[in-house]
Order: sequence, then structure tokens, then C-alpha cells
Amino acid sequence: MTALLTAAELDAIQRHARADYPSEACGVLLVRAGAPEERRLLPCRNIQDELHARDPARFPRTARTAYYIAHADLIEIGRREGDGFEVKVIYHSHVDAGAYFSETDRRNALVDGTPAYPQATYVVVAVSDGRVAETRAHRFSLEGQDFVEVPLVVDNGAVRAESR
Amino acid sequence: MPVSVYIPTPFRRATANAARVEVDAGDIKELLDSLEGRFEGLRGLLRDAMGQVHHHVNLYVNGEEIGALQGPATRLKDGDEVSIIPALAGGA
Repeated sequence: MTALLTAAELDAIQRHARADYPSEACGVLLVRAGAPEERRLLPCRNIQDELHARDPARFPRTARTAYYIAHADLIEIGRREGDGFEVKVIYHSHVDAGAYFSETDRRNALVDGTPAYPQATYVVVAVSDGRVAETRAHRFSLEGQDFVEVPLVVDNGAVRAESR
Repeated sequence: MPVSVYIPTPFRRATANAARVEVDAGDIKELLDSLEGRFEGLRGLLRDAMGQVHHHVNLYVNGEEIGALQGPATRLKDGDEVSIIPALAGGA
């Protein structure tokens, strides 16, 4: 079974989450379809604070409790997808909270009731007091028509997400 | 006046996987009408039942958000590039 993340990728994601504490960090892992060894981890810029400063009514949260990937990064993701990459992982961190998939996460991951990125696993890193407390993964289940947690298994330096 | 429209991945299922389409439109509202007329599946993805662009959908003309321009009345000219970017967002 192909690894969801290499150990180095998981480490980079967790380092990003720690570095941006007490703001939420966010990013994606792009993997070329049919060639899983060709991978690009793309740490993204969280512009939630800028949105909140500009329009607090529409964006009541700050980056401490929310993320919003910068438009330049979204365009870059779209460009890579046009080149044959797929969004395999969408990650973000929670600050002083658990690594659960929140109702906000769920709502934002759906477009008209169907997953915006059906191939993607959502990885959430919980950072408490600047330290990584836990990392959990969630994926859309076609049977349940909802997001479910998938256990992350570290195996020989690679991290797999096992379907339940 | 043809303008080039960037279609994001989550919406490409409505455009037979096309990432870019050319549209003749004089302003953003006309552009959305034209897109929805051509691609039935985009109906509901771009705007709500009241015709308002969804909050999580951002529209850019040559890299500038339409909120900073004239909103749906923003005029378009030949060769403009319009990007449709749904938010990738969430939080605790």
C-alpha cells in the first residue's frame, strides 16, 4: 500500500504547525497521478488574519482558530493539478485544541454536499503549548457520505492512513 | 469580447475537466450568466438561489478581487483573465 506521507513529510508538516503556533498552519501535499514517488509538499500561507482585519463581520475568526489558504497558493495548486498532480493531503493545525475534524472543517471541505477534493485526506495536527500533541487524519467515506477518521499508521518510516 | 476564465479543480466536474474556458461577456454578471448557461453543472456552485455569489467563492479579474473593483458590475475587456477560486479553509 502506498504511503500517505513519508516520515520526512510528516515531520515537515509538524514543524510547520509548531513554527506557526499560535496561528493555524495549512498546506497541501500534491502527488502525481500514477507516479506516487513524484510528490510536492506545499506549505501555504494562512491569510485568515488579513481577512479578519479587513472584514470582521464576514470573517469573525482570527488565524488562532481558522485557516484560509492564500489565493496565490490556490492558483499554484490549480496549476500543478493541470500538470497532472492530485491533492493527496490537505493539512492544517489546531491551536491548543484536539486534532478533530471540526464542523467548520467539514462544511468547508464540501461543495454542494460532495467533497471538493475527493482524493484528499485531511490531516489535522494539534499543537498545545507549542508542541505537537497529536496528528489525526480524516477522509470522505462514500458509504457513509461523510468524513470519517482514518487511523494513521507509521510503518517503516512511512505513514499510511488505513481505511476502516 | 472573449475573456479567459480559470476553472478550479472542485468545479471542473461541471466543465468536462476544462481548466480554462473562453467566455464573451461585458461584465462579471454576464460572465456568470454565460458560464451557467453553458455548463449546467455550475448552477448552484457559483451563486445561490438569490443570484448572489457564494461567500466561499472568490472572483478575480487580472488578479484583483472583484470586491475591490465594482463587484458583479465589474466591466471586462478583451483578453482579461478571470479566476474563480473557492476557498480552501477551515478551523478548530
